[in-house]
Amino acid sequence: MSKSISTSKLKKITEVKANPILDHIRIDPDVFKFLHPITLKYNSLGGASGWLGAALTGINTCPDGVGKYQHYANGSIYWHPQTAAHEVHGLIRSRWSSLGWEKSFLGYPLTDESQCPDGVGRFNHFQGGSIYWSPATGAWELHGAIRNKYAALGWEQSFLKYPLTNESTCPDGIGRYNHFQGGSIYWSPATGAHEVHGAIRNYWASIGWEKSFLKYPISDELPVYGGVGRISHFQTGSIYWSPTAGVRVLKEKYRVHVKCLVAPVTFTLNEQFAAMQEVYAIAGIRVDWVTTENLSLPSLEDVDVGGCTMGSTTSEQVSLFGHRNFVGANEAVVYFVRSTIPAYNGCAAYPSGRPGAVVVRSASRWTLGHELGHVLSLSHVNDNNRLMTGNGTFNITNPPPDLISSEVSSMIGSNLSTAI
Amino acid sequence: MQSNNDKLNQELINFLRQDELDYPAGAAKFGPASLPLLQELIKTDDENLATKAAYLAGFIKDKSVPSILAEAASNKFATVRIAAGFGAKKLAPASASAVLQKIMNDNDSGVLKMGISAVHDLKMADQFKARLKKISAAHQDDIIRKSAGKLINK
Repeated sequence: MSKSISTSKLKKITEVKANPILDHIRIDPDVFKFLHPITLKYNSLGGASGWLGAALTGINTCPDGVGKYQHYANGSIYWHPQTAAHEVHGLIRSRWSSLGWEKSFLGYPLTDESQCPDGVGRFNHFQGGSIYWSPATGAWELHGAIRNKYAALGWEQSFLKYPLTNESTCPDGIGRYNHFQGGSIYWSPATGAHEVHGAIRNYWASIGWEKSFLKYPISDELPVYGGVGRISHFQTGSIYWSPTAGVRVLKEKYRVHVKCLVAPVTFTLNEQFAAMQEVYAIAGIRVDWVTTENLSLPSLEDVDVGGCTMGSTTSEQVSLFGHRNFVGANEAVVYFVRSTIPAYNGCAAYPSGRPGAVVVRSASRWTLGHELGHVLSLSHVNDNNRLMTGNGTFNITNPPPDLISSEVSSMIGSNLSTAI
Repeated sequence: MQSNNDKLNQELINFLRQDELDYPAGAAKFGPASLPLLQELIKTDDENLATKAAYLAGFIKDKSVPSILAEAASNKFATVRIAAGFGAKKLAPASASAVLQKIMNDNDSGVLKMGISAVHDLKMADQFKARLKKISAAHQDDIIRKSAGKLINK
């Protein structure tokens, strides 16, 4: 029969019990039964009649001299003063075991094996990473910056879904990657961790992953100016994809600054840049919208462009194109105005040494690309399927409009198109 | 089946939908016969089309043009009113007067800039002296104030 314990004595015993360094202290079982955290966890999971089954070992000390563990018929419980006691079992335990248990970079478990929100997959988090398992993929570890990226994207609930590999070393011996059901995350010291997926990943894989001329990704896949196009940037270029253009490798860039006197009304700046990028991707040129500056110049909101003839500019054009804050060499400026006098959708006549164009607020979706095409030295053509149609980009019949190879050569030959 | 008129109208609209228009060539091609349609287009809610229609009307030589431009000078789009002022420059001063009376009393800086430019080109500063004085004294835009002042002092 147990003796009764006073409240003050019970408090003292509880304090002792909570001190992990003193967990070896045994109290007279007739007075108070003191249980190891591993035993408490085991009991909470049903003990010998629970799914862990019978103990195969006693509570042993880990090689670090601090942690403890006990193996059971169907799993293990590991305890460490910094992590508490957690069970690990099944294929996740096998993966952890294969990596070296708690001696590996994963360290001790921080959670029991837990169910993913989809009700199918399972995971354990550890001090140094995580192991995710699903019936379709098996159990694989993630850690470091790649795990952080995976977490930031929403773990297995993201488009990446479950991992298909452990974190692996790239052939260069430097970079690291995990493949997932829905893509990959690549990391290198110089670039950080970025995801690559879908058609862009397929193309990158087809040319040799990070061993290709593009090298490592320097961005996640991003929407292009809010449109349907997608882009991933790599160390020496970008890969663009859209439903109509498919996959395009962009090795050149065209840096464009926006000076806004009057905001566009028919198509937003994003829509116009997205449309321009869609066409310029055909030429392998990335359109970089570098800066945006709102200019308060009421007397130039309707700018006199004369006959809009290349090499000939009015005093108002000279004045307008003098506004080149932030604009570097080999960069163009587009000035959004209310109207030109007389009325055009845009005009690409610019003063010497100040490349740029004017686009009016009611211009077509394709006017920006058309005018900046003139700035890259393209001329009008009589073909409504092409960007440079002289018949009006409002009249383009089969969008997106095309560029032909000679136009592409001219564009890339311009000093405004520079290597990425 | 499309009538010849429909075809011509579509051709005219396609012309106006160009990015960079050759207005003199358009005026020569479509001529006075296009003015009724242009007058209709000037009244549409499509700023781009209405503005270009007003400019093209101003490039056409016809006795109905001053009244078309005078009507355009009251259009809801400032860009159309600017086009009216631009067209007025191609009229004789007597015909341009009705257009410029409206333009010179417009509150929009862009329209007023065009009005001052037309008054200058048509040598009509005397007719608008009082208005020019007021603009040169009080207009919020420095450039417009100065250009009005220059005209008075000429």
